Amino acid sequence: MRLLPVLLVALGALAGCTEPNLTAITSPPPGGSAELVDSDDERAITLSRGVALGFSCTYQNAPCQGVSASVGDAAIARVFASYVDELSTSFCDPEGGGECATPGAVFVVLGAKPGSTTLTVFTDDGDIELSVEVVP
Amino acid sequence: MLAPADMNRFYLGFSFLPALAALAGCAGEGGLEQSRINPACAPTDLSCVVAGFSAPLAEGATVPVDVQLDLQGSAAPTLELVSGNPEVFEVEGQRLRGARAGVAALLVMAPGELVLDFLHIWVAQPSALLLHRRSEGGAETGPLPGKVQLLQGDELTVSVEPYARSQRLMGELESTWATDPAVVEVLENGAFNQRRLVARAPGATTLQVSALTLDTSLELEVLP
Repeated sequence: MRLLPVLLVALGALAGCTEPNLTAITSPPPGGSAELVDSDDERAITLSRGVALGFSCTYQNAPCQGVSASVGDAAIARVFASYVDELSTSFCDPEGGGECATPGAVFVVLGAKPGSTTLTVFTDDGDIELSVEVVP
Repeated sequence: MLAPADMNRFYLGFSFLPALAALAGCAGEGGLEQSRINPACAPTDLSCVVAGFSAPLAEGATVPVDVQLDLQGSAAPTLELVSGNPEVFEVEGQRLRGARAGVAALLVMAPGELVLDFLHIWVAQPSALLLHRRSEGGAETGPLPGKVQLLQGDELTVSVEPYARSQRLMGELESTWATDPAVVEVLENGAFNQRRLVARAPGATTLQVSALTLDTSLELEVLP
């Protein structure tokens, strides 16, 4: 029985279920685009020029650890780390026990000019690369 | 002249305006829900206090910004305001200046390029100017009709407001004001978009106000 959790994690890893997840936490303005897709098939952000999108990084229902982010072309999009209230309930996962003792891992990406680039989120639990498209 | 007790009631009344603004909704609440970003209104300017950024900023107009952070266990650090697209609006100190129609994020940043919050700001091209009457303290009392009669010695405070069709826009415009000064004198009163009109002598004149590429006018008659 003691090996069961270890086996479950190992099975999850084999099934590709243990990568960090990125989730949009803000809405676009009316008529603007600010969308983040993080699925098995696609990892992409679409932004209107000048529009910002906040997103969080979680790993197994907890904020990602050792996290940073960068973009391939800062002239097209910029990414900033964000400070968030550690104990804000909006970043708790009710299914994860609601424990929010760890600071949230949140970033804000901004569409600078129309074009395509990439955004990479580096974490202790693996890196994630997304395509970024900035539309006029 | 108000008695001290009346003055207390006067100021107490205005002290409720921020609470009224809060009750009006989460005007100017940042996307990360950690701040409220609103125009820095005079406490007597009820329409500004209540409306917040509920309208686009006019092209060419400026508006001072007030950022109130709501961080657990921390007062506000040094803040920097950054425009998401300077072609839409620029940040000039604590003011935003509308550049051209569009939408862009206003980022509230702490040292170390940390984003604390952001709010999307709209900019629109004004299509008309309207003149509004102001009280001596700056409170807005409503739009003016096309003609006003004054008695010699009367004073009238007037502001020029930008509109896009039926929507009133935000912002203070740099404007030029002209009358026949022998009849009505136009005096600066310390606000970009407001003037104090003083009836000097009986007669008639037209107040001409221009801002951006727009203009408006008001017929003034001074009675003896």
